[in-house]
Amino acid sequence: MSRTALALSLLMLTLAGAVEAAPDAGRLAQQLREHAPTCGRFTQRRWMADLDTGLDSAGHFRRQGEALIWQTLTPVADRVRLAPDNPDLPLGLKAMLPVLTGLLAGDWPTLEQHFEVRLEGEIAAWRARLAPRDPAVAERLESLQVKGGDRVERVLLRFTDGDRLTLKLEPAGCDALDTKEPES
Amino acid sequence: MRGRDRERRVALVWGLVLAACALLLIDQLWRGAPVESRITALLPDTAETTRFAEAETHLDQAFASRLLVLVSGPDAAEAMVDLKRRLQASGSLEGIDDESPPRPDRVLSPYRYRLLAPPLDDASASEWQERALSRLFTPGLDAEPRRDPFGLLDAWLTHRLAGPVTWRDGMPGVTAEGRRWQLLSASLAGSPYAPAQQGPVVEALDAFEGDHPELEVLRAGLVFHAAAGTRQAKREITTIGLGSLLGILLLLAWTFRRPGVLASLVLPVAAGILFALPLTWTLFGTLNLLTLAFGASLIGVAVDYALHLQCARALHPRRPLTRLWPALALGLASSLTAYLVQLATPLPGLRQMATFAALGLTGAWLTVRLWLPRLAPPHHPATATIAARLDRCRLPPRAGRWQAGLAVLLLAALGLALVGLRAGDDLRRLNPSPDTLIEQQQRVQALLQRSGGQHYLLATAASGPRLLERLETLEAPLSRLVAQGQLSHYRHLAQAVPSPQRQAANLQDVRQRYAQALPGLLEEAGLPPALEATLTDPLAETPVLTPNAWLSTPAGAADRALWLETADGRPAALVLLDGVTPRATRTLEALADDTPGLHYRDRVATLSERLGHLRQQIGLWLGLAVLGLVAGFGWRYRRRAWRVLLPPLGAVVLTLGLFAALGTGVTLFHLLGLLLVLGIGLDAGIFSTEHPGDPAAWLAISLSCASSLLAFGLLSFSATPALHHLGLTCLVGLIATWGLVPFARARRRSDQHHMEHVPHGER
Repeated sequence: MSRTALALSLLMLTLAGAVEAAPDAGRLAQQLREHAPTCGRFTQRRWMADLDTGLDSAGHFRRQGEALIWQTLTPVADRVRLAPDNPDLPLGLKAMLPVLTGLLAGDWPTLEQHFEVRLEGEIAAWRARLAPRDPAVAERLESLQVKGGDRVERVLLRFTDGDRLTLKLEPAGCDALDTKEPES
Repeated sequence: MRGRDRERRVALVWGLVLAACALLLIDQLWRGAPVESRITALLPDTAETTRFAEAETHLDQAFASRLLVLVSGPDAAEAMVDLKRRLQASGSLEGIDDESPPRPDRVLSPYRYRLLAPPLDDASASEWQERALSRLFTPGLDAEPRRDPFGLLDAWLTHRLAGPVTWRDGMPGVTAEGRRWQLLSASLAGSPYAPAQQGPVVEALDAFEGDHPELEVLRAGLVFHAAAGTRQAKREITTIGLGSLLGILLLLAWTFRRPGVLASLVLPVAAGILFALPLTWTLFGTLNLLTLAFGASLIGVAVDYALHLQCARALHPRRPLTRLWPALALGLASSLTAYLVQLATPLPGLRQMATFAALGLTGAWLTVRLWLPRLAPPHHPATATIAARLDRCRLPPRAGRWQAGLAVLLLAALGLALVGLRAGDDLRRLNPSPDTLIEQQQRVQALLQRSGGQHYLLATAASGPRLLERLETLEAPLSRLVAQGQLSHYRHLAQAVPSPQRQAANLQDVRQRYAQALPGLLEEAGLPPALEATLTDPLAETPVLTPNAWLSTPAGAADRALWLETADGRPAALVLLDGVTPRATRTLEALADDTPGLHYRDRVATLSERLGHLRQQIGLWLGLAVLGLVAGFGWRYRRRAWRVLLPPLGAVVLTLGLFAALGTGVTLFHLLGLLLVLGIGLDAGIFSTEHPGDPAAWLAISLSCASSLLAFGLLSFSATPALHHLGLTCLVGLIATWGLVPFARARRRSDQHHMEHVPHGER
C-alpha cells in the first residue's frame, strides 16, 4: 500500500516537474523578441490534398515594421508585401499576417489574442501548438505547430480540408539577401 | 323681457351644442380616431411625392428602428457583453444583431465565376497567371487552388463588399486611428418616438456609461434623438410651462382677487377648444399634433374677450354690457379674417389649423357673449385701483416728439424689414438634438462608413434585371463624382448583385482567362498539365445571383434598404449617397433629369423647401389678410383707422425690423408667432379705438398682453428651435403691441370722454 502511495507521489512529482519544464511564455516571448531576425531564408512546402500534389518553393523574407516582404525565388520569382494597409492582399493572407509577423517578431501577446497556445519542451528547444480562437479562422485552419530555440525554426499549418503548409526559417543577413534579390 | 328670454334660450342651446361636442369628442377618443405627428402630413400629396414617400417609408423602416453603439477603451469587449445584457434586460429591443460574422464568402461561393471585380476585371491573361502563382507560393490561410486558383471570390469580397467592420474574437467592431471600437447594432421593438421604448434603452445606456467612466461610448439612432427631444420637452414643460402658468394665475389673481372671475376667464377658452376639437377632427378625419398645438395657442387669444368683459364690469358695474358687444364682435371678425384667409391656401395643414382656430375663437366668443353676462361673480375693489394706477401710463399731453419718434422708428423698421429680412428655412437649424448627440451620430456614421440616408437617387424600371442594368449605367457618373471629390461614397444593389446580363458577360470573360492563363500557370508552378481539366471543371455550371438570393442572407441584410417593391408592383432601387457637395447636387439633378426613371432627392433640402413653401404661403395670405383689414377698418373708422391698425401692424413691422437688424432668418414658426401677435394686437387696437379713454379697456389690453407674454413669450427660453422662434416673436411682438397702445389711445382726457359717449354712427 505504502509502495503504491510512494509510487504515486513520485509520479506526481515527475508530473509537477514536467509542468515546470514547460517554458514560461513571458521568457520565451522575450527570447524571441531579442533574437527576432530582420531578414531570413525560408523553404516552403504546400500540400494540396484535393489535387493530391505538393509544391515546393524557397526564398527569403524581410520584416519592415508591421509589414513583411515575402520574396519567393524558386520555382518562380514573386514578391509580396504582407501589410495590413495593402488593399490588394487576399483575405486569406490578411488573416495570416498577424500570425506570421507575431511569430517572427516574438510578439507572443498578439499570438495569444488569436490562438490558444500550448507550450512544451524547454526554453532552448520548445514546441508550441496553437489552436485558433476565432471560429471563422478555425473553420479553415485546424492548428499551427511551431518549433524553435532562440527563434522560430519550423512552422506547420494544418488546414481543415487536409492541406498543409510547412515553413522552415533560418536567419540571414539582410545585405546578403539584397544582392541576390531579383527585380520584381 | 322677451329679449332676455330669447337670450336665455340661445344660451341653453349653446350649452346643448357644447354637450353634443363633448359627446362627440368622447366618442372620438374612445374609438381612437387617428392622430398625425408628421410635419409632412401638413403638405399636399402629389403622385411624385407618393413615390418618394414609399421610398422614404422603406428607408425609415431600415434606419428608424435601428440603433448603433460603439464602445472603445480598456476591456471594451467585456464591457460590451455587460451592455448587451443591460439592453436585453430593458425589454425595449426586438433583438441584438447576429453574434456571428455574416460570412458573404459562404453565400457567394457558388456564384464566384459570374462575379468579376478589380484587379481581375481588366487584367491581362499574364496578370491573372502572376496572381495565381503568388497565391500558390505565399503562406496564406487557404489558396483554394482547385476551386479558385485566381482568387475570384477574394477579389470580389475585397473590392465590392469590404467594409470597415471587422470581427475579432467573435465580436464585430471597427479599427480607426489605432483604436478598436466594439460595435453593437440592434433593432428597437417599437417606434423610436414612443417614450415607452425610448426610456428603458436610454436609461440602460446611461447607467452603463455611468458605471464605465473609462470607456468612450458613441451612440447613433433616431431613438436617441427622439429621447433627447422628449426629455427636453418634459424639462421645459416643468420649467417654462409651469412658470408661465403660475405667472398667469398670479397676475390674474392679483388683479381680480376673486376665484369666480378667474374661472370666468378660463371658461370661454375651454369651451372654445371643446367646440373646435371634435368638429375639426370630424371635418378632416385626422388631427395633426402641430395643428393642435398652434391652434390651441391661437384660441388662447379668446381670453381677451372675457378679460374685456370682466374689466368693464369691475370698473363700470352700472354700465350695460351692450356697450361692449360691437368691439367684441369686431375683435372676433378681424381675427377670423386673419385666420380664415388661410383656408384659401392649398396646404391641408394650414387649412386644418385655420379651421381649428376659427371654430375655437367662435366657440369662445359665443361663450363670452351668451354665458358670461349670466355669470356675475362679485368684483374686488382692488381691480379698479389697479386700473386707475395703470391709466396713468399714457402719453403726455404734448406728445408730438414721441409720435414723431415712433413714426421714424416704424419707418426704419419697415425699411429694414423690406430690405434686410431673409428667410431661414434650413431644417438643420430646426434640429432640436443636442450638439453632442449630433456629433456622436456623425462619428458613428464616419467610422462605419454608413449613410445617413438623407441623399439618394431613386431608380425604377420595368423589371428587376432592367433595374440592375440601370444602376450599372450610374456607375460611371457616380465614380467620376467620387474621383472629383464631389461625393464621398455611394451604395446601390448592383454593386453586390450585378445584372444577369453583366453576370453572363463576366462568366464568358472568366472562361476565356482560364483558357489563356491556366496552361502557363501549371507549367510555371511545376504542376501536371492534366490538372487543367480538374481546375476548369467548376466553370461548366454556375448559378446566377439574384437580388432575392443575396438579400435573404445575413450577409445581404445590410443591402435590404436599397431594394423595394412599389405599390404599382414595379421594382425600385435606392442609391444612397454620402458627402454630397453642392456641385455634386447639381450634377445629380442633371443626371436624374436626363435619365428616365431616375429621381434625385435631398431629404433635408426637400423638407426645408416645403417648410419654406409653407412659410411663403402663410406670409402671402397674412399680407392679404392685412390688406383686407386695412380696407375694412378704413371703411368703418375712416381717419381713425390708424388707431386700430397701429398696435397689430406696428408690432408686426417692429418685430420684423428687429429680426432684419439682428439677421435672424424668418421661419415658419416666426410667422405662426406673428399670427398670434396680430390677433392680440387687433383686439388691443379695436378696444383702444372703441373705448379710447376707458381704463377698463387699457387694463384688459395690458392683462391680455402680459398673460400672452407669459404663455408664449417665455417660450423664447426654450432650447427647441421651433418653440424658441415662436416665443421670441411673441416676446418682441407683444411688448411692441403693448407699447403702441398708448399711441393708439386718444390724446386728451376730454376727447376720450367725448368719444366715450358718442354713438358709433356719429363719429
